[in-house]
Amino acid sequence: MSEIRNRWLFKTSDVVGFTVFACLTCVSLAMLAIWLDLGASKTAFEERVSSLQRTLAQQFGNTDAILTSLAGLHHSSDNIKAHEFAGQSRELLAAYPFVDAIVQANVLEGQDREAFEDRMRSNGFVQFSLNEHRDGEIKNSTLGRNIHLPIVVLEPFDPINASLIGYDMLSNPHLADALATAIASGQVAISNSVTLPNIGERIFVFKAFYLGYTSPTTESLRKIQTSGIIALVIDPRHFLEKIFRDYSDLEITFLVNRDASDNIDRMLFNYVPAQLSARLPFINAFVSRIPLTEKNPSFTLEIRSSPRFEQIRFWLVILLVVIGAVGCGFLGLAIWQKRAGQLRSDEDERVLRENEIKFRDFAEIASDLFWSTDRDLQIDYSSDEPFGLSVLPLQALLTGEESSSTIRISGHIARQLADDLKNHRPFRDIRYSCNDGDGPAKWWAVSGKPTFDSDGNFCGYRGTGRDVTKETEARHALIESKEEAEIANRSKSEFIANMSHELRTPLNAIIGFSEVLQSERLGALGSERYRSYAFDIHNSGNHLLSLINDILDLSKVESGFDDLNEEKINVAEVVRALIVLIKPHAVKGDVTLELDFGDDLPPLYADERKIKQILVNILSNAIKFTRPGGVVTLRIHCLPSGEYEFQVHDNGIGMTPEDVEKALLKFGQIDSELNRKYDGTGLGLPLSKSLTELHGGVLEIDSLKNRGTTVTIRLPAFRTMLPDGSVTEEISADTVL
Amino acid sequence: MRTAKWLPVALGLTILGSAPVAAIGAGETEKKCLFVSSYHQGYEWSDGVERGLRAVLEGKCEYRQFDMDTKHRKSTREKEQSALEAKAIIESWKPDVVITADDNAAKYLIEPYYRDHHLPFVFAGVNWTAKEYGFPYSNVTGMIEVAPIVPMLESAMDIVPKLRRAFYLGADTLTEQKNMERFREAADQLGFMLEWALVDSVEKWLQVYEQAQETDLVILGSNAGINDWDADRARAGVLELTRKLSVTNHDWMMPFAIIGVTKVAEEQGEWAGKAAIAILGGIAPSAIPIVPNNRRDIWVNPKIINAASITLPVSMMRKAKKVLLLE
Repeated sequence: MSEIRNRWLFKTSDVVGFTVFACLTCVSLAMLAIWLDLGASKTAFEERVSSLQRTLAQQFGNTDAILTSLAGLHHSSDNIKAHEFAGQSRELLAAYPFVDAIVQANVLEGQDREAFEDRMRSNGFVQFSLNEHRDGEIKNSTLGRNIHLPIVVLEPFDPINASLIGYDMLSNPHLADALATAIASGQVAISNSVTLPNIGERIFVFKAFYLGYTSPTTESLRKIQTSGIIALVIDPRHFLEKIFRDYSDLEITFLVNRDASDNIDRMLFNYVPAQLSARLPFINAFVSRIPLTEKNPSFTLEIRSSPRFEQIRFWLVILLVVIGAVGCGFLGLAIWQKRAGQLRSDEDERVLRENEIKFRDFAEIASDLFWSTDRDLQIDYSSDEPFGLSVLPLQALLTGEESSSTIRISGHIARQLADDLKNHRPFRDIRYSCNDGDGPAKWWAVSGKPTFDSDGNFCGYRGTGRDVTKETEARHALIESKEEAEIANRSKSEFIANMSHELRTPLNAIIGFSEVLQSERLGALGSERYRSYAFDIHNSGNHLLSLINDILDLSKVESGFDDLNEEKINVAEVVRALIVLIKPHAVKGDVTLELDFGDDLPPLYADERKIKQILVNILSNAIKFTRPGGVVTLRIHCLPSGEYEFQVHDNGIGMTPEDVEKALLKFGQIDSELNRKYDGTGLGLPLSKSLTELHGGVLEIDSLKNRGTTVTIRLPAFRTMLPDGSVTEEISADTVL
Repeated sequence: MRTAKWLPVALGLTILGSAPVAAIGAGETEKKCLFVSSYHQGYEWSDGVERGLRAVLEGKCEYRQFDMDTKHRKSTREKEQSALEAKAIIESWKPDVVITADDNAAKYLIEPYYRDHHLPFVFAGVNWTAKEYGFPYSNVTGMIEVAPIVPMLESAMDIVPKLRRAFYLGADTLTEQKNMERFREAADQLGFMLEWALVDSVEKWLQVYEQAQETDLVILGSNAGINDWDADRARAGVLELTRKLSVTNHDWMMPFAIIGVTKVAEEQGEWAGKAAIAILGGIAPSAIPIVPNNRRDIWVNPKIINAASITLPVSMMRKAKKVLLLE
């Protein structure tokens, strides 16, 4: 029941749903905090806007004061001169740098225009004419009006502003409305923004001055007694930015509605301090609008709060949303992980069950025994279920109770096993035999490996066991056969040695007496046939003696009774001496015997008699099996490896590989025409091979039928004497043997 | 192309911090401004123009100056030669704008060689009218030099209400002849008679000055052109001989006159400099109107006033600059 409820509770959709719900709750709380203006950030913003309004009012008041003072100059003087007006303007411009220029325009009637222009030209304005600004250019036209308001004085008088001299301000409809207002009201009037060539966008602030010492009191009088206009030329950006610098926490947009008929505000410029460039996410700025002018044109400032005001709200959002979201995230993650862990656990359990079943199937099907023990070495699992007969001896073996059972195991193996078990070491291929009931003993080979838990504590052993009864019995039989064969061979050799000795004693008498008879030393035999018989007896005796000698030598080697009588021998001398014995056979067979070795052969550490015996046998065979006219070559040299090599080559009858194999067998002389021609015991090659091997060397035969044979005897390097005549340390009885 | 060529150098200098770069920007500091003065350094008017010009152009462009020295190289041939030398400098140095001061530069350099040329010119100190040289050209603008004659004579008439006769005394030069003509026109306009004399020595100047005391007003023109001018002698003579009001439009003549309404030489240079910067900034010379000078100063000379027992209005004495304070 518990598992079912948990699975239902931890569904993924529930986790996601809960997390989303929690986040939404946090967001709602944050929005509520913002709506309630927690932290009073909106109040702070409104105070800043109010402060800005006061500053703007003061700045506008300044423009009023400037214009009023200049208008007062005209009203208080009978003849204010241009340079005096300019001087006053320069002082005001220095005091109020937000004003870009101050201009004076005089009312000019149409009929006086030409004379006025002539006078201006004669005063140095050589290009002077009344002009208007249209389409961003200065045109010499004033639209045929009867009244003009040309600018005649301006400060600062510089090349850029100079183009305003002669500018008929009445020609511009954007200025005309404000001019009319200023003239009719006697008050300060702000023009719409106008674009002046080479100067840019400007706003004019007008004030009229009138004939007489005081301003007319009625609108009608003001209209007919207007003498001229004084105007402040203001770059709105310049004018406002100086103020805005103190309000760098606000983004201020300067809007103008040029036409009262449409309520579309056009942006003159947008003041965005650098630190305001990035707004906070999810937070709407406070917005406030300040109307600068009520009538046409209407100027409005749209003010937006900076992130400074939004920080409190922002941190509220952070506090409630981010921290809440993080908390929900952690909770969701924890639940999710729990759920995932549960799923993983179920899966692991399923896999484990499957693996266990799989393992049990394998174990039960396998011929080997699988077992495991607890930490007390008590077998707690065996594939021989239920615990079969094989398990009980194993249990006894592991617990050291083999003496009380039917187990037979070598003592030192039992001790080694006990030591491994005690020290929790793995053991391998421990063999023992046991009787499982009334049947024959069975041999088992067991291996085991200790197991430890994650903390390194010993948990028991796991291992396998294998029935090796057949394998063990077969090996024992093989060993017994080998021992029997070796005994038989040794007995045979001893027998032959003894028999050969016994045979040689009567043969000496036969050979000796037949030789006496043959030499007729004691008197003539008389009959030729007797002499022939004596010769045959003598030859047969010698042949038999030779055969017995070879058998004797071979038997000695095989029986292990033959020792080497090693000494330093001069190979060249030894060979030349035996050549004397061999050469008559070669001459007799019309075979050329060639020697290929130098006098600089190094000494050989070997048994001289046996070396001679080997070479005589090999050379005799070569001469014997070479046709008349053939060549037998004896080549002796030292190999780069230091080995001493004797090579006998003939171009005789040669042998097939099968013949070579046969020739190396005792009495294995191959049947051939030449074999019958020359007597032989058939023991020469086997004997030579045995003697060579007795020296630690090898004898190899390389032969081709009808092409010849090469016999190579290669003695090990340690038999080659060093240049200083010493023998390597490797030469010892043990090594040789 | 030149901008592109020099830009890496300017950037390099900026990075190394080895040279301050003016706020106008690296691309503009390398512009070249050539000032061609008609006269020579040390000539007071020209120095004033140069001061105004340098004050404006400082750090805005690479500045070079060539003085035609036509106060000393007086013959037409010498003036033409000076103009050719200026032209050679223009062609070799290739300035972006040329500023000239006074008439000779306009007459001998701009008019013959650079009329409607692509190279912009700003003139300063051209006397009275630019029409004499055919201005305006498409590539030329500037400030002409207008002496405040009428304002000065109006001030004199405030002191001498019954002004009937006036005497104009100046050096015997072409410029002074033109100035004198302007005064004659003004006298006609204001309703008094003008007598005149242009002399070539200080002795004659003193003699004529003495004779001029017979009239109601003495107008002192420029002494430039009187080769043996001796200031001490002239000052002593003036103190001794003065009985009538004397006025001048030249500030350097104030040691010898009672009232001066003078132009401001620096205004010419400042205007020309600002016009040059506007042209370098992309405004066509033709978009900048040719204008007259606008500023003036008023001076009084208390020493001569005292010596001559002349009384000036209190308002003028309070307003005017005093010559003695500057001596």
